[in-house]
Amino acid sequence: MTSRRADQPDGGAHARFTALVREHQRGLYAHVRVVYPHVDADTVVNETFTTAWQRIDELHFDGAATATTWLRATARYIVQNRRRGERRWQALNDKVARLDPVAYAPPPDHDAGIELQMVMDALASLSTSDREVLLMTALDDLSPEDVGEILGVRTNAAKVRVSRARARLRAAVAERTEPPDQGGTR
Amino acid sequence: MTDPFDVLRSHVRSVALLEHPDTDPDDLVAQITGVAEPITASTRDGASVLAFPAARSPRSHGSPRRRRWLVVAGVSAIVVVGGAGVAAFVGARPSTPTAGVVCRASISNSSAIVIEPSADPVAACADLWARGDLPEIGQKGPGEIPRLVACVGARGTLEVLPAAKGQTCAAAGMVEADPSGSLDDPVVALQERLAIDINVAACQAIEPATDIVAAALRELELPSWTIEVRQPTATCVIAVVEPTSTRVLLIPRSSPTD
Repeated sequence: MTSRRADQPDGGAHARFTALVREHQRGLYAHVRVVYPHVDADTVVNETFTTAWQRIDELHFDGAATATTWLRATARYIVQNRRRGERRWQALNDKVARLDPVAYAPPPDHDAGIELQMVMDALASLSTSDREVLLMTALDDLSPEDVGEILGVRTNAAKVRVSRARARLRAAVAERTEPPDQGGTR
Repeated sequence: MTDPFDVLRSHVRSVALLEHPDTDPDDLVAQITGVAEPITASTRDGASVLAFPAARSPRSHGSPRRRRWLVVAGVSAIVVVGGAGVAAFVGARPSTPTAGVVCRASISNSSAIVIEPSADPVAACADLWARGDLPEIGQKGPGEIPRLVACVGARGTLEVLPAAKGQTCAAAGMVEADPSGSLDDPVVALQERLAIDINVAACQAIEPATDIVAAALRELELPSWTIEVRQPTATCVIAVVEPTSTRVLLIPRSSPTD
């Protein structure tokens, strides 16, 4: 049996932390970059892993999914605290422009580009919470349990929020595709 | 058109492929472990760490029940049409829809004005009464605002209607609306979903409408719910949610060419 000082991490902790960073840094970075485009993703990822390191003795994940959701939930806390602290939370409408399709992968054809632009415009018109749920589930195949864990709500509530956000996105896109005073047969 | 969510998914995943953190993982480890110390038993007291989620903690069940009345800007008018209670979601395209809310002149009046859900539906309907904006349901013009009550109709819609002093929803055969109802209630989400995906269309045919309802029931995990098509020959249908019998009715509506 090994012993160590109470205020010193063991070598296993360092190895576990290294493995955690290697496995999850890229995915967490993409998550923060896409879901919270208004923040500096590198800073949030750094703070998230710093928190993980500070708590490494308490972190015993059962599997990748648990580590994934813990890291995303922690990143969300950090984003929210930064938002509160700096009082500079703004509507993401203009910030979503950082996801401007033109700046990234150009769509293969003109119609696809128009469609994507319409979806991004519709997304920008939604509430921040709808956008958050849509973006996080669009990026990763998160289960309702995962979404609930990240948002700090029950699984059922997470399920409803995802469904509602998708419905609102569809409605917002429909508003942009149909003349205002005419419906259309679907 | 492709499902907008699929378009979004494809886009953000392609974006993510192009995104790389500035720091190499091993450099990040060195950076963090060289500066920060893990919080151990001896350093835990006084540590200024925020209340981050606990690893392996039970899931949070602390989401407080919120008031069902949702925040929405303004009250926009909308439609009408007969068949008691059926007007509920017809024709409304709320900008921030949550659930069906209608203003009625009386329970016996088959017409109803669908309004956008608001922080206070009773006040929203009272505003329409005050402005005389309810000619469709028989209001002659601006005038006295009747005493209004909010009841849950048989089809799960929120119905705001005049009631004499002492009169309750029960007198109209309805139950009192529960203001503490959760927005996360799957039935509320179902209503909203069907209102958006089916009822706002000028004409939704039976087959796609059935598919939409079935998908919504699956997604919201309401397996015991059934779908009933009232008139299989109907050209256009709308969906009506019946929480009491856990059914979604697809009932005929007039097509734009009628």
